[in-house]
Amino acid sequence: MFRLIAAVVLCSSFAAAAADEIPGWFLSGGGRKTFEAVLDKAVKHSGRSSAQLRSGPKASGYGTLMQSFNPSSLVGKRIRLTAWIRTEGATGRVDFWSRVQGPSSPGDGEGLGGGHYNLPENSDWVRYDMVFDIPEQGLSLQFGVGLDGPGKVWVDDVRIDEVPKATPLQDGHRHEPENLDFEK
Amino acid sequence: MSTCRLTLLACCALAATAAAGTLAELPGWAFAGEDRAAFTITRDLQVRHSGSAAAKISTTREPRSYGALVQTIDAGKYTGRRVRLSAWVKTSGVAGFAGLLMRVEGTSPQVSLAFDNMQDRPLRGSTEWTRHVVVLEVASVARRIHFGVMLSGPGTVWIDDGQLEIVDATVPTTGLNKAEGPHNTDFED
Repeated sequence: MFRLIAAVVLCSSFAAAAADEIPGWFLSGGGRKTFEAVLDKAVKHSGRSSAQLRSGPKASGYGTLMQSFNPSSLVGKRIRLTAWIRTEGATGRVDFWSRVQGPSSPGDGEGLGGGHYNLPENSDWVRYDMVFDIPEQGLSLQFGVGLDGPGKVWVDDVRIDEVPKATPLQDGHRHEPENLDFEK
Repeated sequence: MSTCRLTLLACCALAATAAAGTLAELPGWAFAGEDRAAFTITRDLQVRHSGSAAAKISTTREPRSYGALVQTIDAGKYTGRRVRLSAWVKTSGVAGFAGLLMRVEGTSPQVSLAFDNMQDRPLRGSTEWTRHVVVLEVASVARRIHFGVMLSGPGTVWIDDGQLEIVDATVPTTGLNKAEGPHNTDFED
């Protein structure tokens, strides 16, 4: 699923629209023109505002509100990427993703590491963590929240922190089945 | 003709197992399909196979596509092994078909290494609680496994007491990719 997202994002070769109101962030993905990103001063995790990504009236394809930066100061380190995320009516796909791209990472690949969370259709603010290494070949660190389908997703208080090498890796993927008897 | 239909439906199912928001009421599970609004998915405390609840998927109107209740896990410990999904399933008024679903995904979401949605042994109409199985090979290059239950067309399906387990090679595989080698390459069959 992550790779699909990566493909959608990169197939557009960063033919990206800046999310005008939100310095540092931009919209990407094949469906980016059908999504909007705004600062939300009413619904926020902390501080004065959060970012809200929402489907427009003719939403089609995948749209992601993302950042990309050169991680040279983090090379060789293990990092934790943290974001607080809220969702509403996101009945298609909604996700939080990250990846490190190297010089020859294919645009449709998962890069040299990162992670991916498939998010709930509806949820109040939840903290999501990814823990991964920044390899020497890492040229860009990319992350964002995305939607394919209707709904809204808010993101706030994103942080990147160096963590000790002993911190367990966390890619957001699930490795075991869960709740197959529906008792939870 | 029937082969053609099978293939088409299978491809639809493949494409959309990727589209899913997880469901707050059913931890671990997500919806897959392209017409979420046509389906109601709940935890049913009355109709259940055992324990205190089952999952219930029903339609509110004629759906434009199938709907499925799915989980996605990394293929990890299952690679190179044969895996059986089993679960107890009950149906009511299923006008299209219902079935357990499993898809083994390769290096990209478009690559399906093995697939079965019980289309060759569909559940139709009303059926009592029955244990059904899907058995697939998880190739060494597999990256993800999607599994769950799907409903095509109007109706209601319940699922309870699922299990995903490694089985030995004496357990026959099910589904569309079960041929051991090429078949009918001269088109004379």
